[in-house]
Amino acid sequence: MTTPPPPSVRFDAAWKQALAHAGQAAQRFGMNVVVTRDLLGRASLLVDDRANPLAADAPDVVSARDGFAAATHPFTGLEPLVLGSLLFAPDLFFASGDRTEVSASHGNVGSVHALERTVIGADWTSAPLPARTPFDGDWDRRDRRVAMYGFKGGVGRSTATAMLARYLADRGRCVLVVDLDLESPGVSNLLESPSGIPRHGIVDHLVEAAVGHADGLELVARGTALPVRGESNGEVWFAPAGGTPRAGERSDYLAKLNRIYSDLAPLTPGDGPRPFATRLEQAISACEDQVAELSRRPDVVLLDCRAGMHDIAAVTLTHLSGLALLFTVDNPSTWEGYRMLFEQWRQRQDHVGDLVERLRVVAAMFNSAGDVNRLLALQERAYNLFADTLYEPDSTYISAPDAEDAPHTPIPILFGNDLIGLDPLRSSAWPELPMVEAVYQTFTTTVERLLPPPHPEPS
Amino acid sequence: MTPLTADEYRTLIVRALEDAVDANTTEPDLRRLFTPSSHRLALAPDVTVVKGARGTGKTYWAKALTDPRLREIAAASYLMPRLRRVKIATGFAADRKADAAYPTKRVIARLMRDDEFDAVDFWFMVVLMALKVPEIAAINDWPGRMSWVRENPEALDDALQEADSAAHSDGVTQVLLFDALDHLHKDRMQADKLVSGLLEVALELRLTTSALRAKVFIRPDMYDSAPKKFADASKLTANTAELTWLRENLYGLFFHQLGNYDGPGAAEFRAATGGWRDEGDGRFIAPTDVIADQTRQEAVFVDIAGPYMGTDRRKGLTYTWVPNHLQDGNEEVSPRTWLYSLREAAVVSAERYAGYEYALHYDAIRASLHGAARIRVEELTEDIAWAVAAVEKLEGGEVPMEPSVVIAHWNQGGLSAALQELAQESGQDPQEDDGGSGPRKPDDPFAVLEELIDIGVLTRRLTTGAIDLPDVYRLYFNIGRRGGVSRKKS
Repeated sequence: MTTPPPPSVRFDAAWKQALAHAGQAAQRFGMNVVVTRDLLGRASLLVDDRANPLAADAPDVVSARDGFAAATHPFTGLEPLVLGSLLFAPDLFFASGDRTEVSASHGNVGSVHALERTVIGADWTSAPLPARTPFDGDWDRRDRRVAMYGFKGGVGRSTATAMLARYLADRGRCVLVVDLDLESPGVSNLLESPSGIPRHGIVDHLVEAAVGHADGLELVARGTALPVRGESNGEVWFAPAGGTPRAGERSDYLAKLNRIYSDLAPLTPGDGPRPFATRLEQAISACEDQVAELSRRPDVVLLDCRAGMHDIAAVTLTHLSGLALLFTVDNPSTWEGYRMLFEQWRQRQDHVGDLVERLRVVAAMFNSAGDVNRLLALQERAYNLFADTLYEPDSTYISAPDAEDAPHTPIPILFGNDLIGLDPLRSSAWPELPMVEAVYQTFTTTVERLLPPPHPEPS
Repeated sequence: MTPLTADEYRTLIVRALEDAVDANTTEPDLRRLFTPSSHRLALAPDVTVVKGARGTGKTYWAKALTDPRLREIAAASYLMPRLRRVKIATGFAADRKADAAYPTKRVIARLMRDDEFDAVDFWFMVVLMALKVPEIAAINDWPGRMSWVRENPEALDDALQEADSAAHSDGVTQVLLFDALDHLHKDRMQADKLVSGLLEVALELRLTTSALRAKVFIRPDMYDSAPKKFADASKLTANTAELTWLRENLYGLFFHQLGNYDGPGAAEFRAATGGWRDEGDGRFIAPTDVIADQTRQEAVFVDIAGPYMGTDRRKGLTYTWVPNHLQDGNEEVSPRTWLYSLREAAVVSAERYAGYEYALHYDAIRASLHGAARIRVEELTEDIAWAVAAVEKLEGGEVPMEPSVVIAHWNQGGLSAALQELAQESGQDPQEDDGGSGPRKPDDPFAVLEELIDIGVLTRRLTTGAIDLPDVYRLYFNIGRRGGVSRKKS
């Protein structure tokens, strides 16, 4: 007879349990307690017994330790319960300025504090390439992924992503859109209603996988807002940044977010380290696999990245995608931003020649009215930027500033006053408007040419 | 599905384009004459001015029009039956025959030194000679003929009316061709004066006769710089056609050559690309989509060169890459440069990449640009030699280049002296290439710079105003391009 596996809880529930057990311990021992949560979200209970030391093997200490461990599994610290009297530097915990009070002491009951240990701001661009996972066919996963990135927000990137998804689906492709705008997760414009959001999102995968617990997450849903036209068999899928919990479930999005940006030590000794790039790659792969399971392997995966100089963007552009669309509007701060980004890549990447070929500039919200030279001016600025940073002297791009198919050549998305205020959520028929079609036509057809062919029919 | 192997394609390309890349010696020929739709108007008898940059086919069409069989082809291809009812005479051309209706360059220069010289008189004289008007044909020397025109205005009008009536009653249009105007005179001012007179005469014929028509083939910059201070000059401008080579025309030309080669491979190529129309005499016309539809053309070209300029789709598309890298500052590609590049790519592929799955290897295409650049500079040397001299002085420099730096190069390199030397009348064989007229203002470097931009040899960067040089010229001269970051190879 095998012992059943211990019950397990997800990230949010584990924290809830940890805080509940901390309250019980504060009451049982009449001492102040601190609950710490490490980079992986694993909780430990620290009891301040310095005034009245407890024995580590005392029955109530053992039962508190076991209860805490069982309730928080798998998000349990390496030492589920720690006695302050045995710590080398207890004030690092019990007097830390980073503590947040959960409940104050009253009467014989000690106080409860939470102490979060997270790290943000490490530099991922130098991380090694995640291991590729080729499968049958000539194109591996990375080649099917398109990063949609804008240094500045508000240039219509997400709308363009939706339009592109729809166009490619109309042309028979299976498209997955992944929301990597983790800092400001929104309701996707691919969904008719927020209720279509799956239970979990990318951040859930990141925190669960960190403790080897990623199986069984519900990561993707069908995009319902853009019905595919024609007899094309195309489909659109959507993976959100954060899921929508079921009624009554709690979900502390920020707490998860604070734990995802880190390179992790091996989960089990002997494995390789787990850099953030690799973890993000695994999260995206998990979404792709789920679409494959529910329907068929995605032909194209659009990664909607947030604006700014951000780790996610850096990783996605340099490591995770076969094609990176850089949304630009022709203003100095945009060029300056890209220049900083490119300078950084140039210093860190050995394979900048490979990287540069995956980049394409998109002239977002391009208002060409009355001036044909505008696009040329934008192209020239883009050329200067690339020539100063990423192009190598012997590349043919250098010799042809006006080339039609170089990385710096802007792919225009037109912009007209008629488009202002069109809300894709309010009017589900808006992509049908001929004017809207015209706006995106160059963009969608150009991108389509840069994509690998769809998967062959499964035989 | 293609019935031709890469190697068979290479052989076909090398042989079919063999003559096409020779210099001006290429006479238009029955099978290979290609009629792009954009050139249709240029042949219409009523279109007086045909503008075309160096190498776009002005001389080619002038020659084709003089050959009744080729004219018939054009009439059929362009649905222009009127071309079957024209008589053609030549009023000026580069290859002057002994009995030509116009004098040699040297005689023209001498006539112009006469204070009484008038360009309009000069061209009326040429028109009368071309029409073989007896009164003037009877005179034995050019100065004498000039005098006759000057002194007999009524007789001139009568002669023109008579020729007009004769042509009219025969039901034909008498077309007079004027080509190679770059070679009228070494001095640009004088050349402009002659061109201006010619345009006036051409317009006069169109407005006062019904069956006499001049057709003037001219570089756009020469047309623009010739003073048009005569009545109704605007009517002339409204009546011009341009010889342009759009991307689909270039590919149409290429495929037409392959399908009309008289040897192995051509029939297979035709079979592979759909229903070619047999025109007889070994001439075949490609299906419309092969001539005009970019999607279809790309599919055909991908069979020949593969889809990408490298191992994957991010390296650029062969279909657009080749024309893009051959264009000059006005975004024009000369057909000869184009065909040369393709042929050279086939030669290099056969030598170095024989095992490649497609006929043209992308690195061979890249390598062919250098030879294409040489061809382009040769073309330029024939008609606009001064432009070549000016760019040569930038040797060793780097573009983009500030205008002041360009001019400094010229000052140090002695451009003025070089231009003066070019402007000297060569005492050699008058049939020898003279390199054409000089720049409008040889002593003003800023004007020279502007003119080079006009003719597409230099370009000006939009945002910085710096001067740049299209690859099709840059690769010939030893001029580098700034930009690009050197990296330590790890």
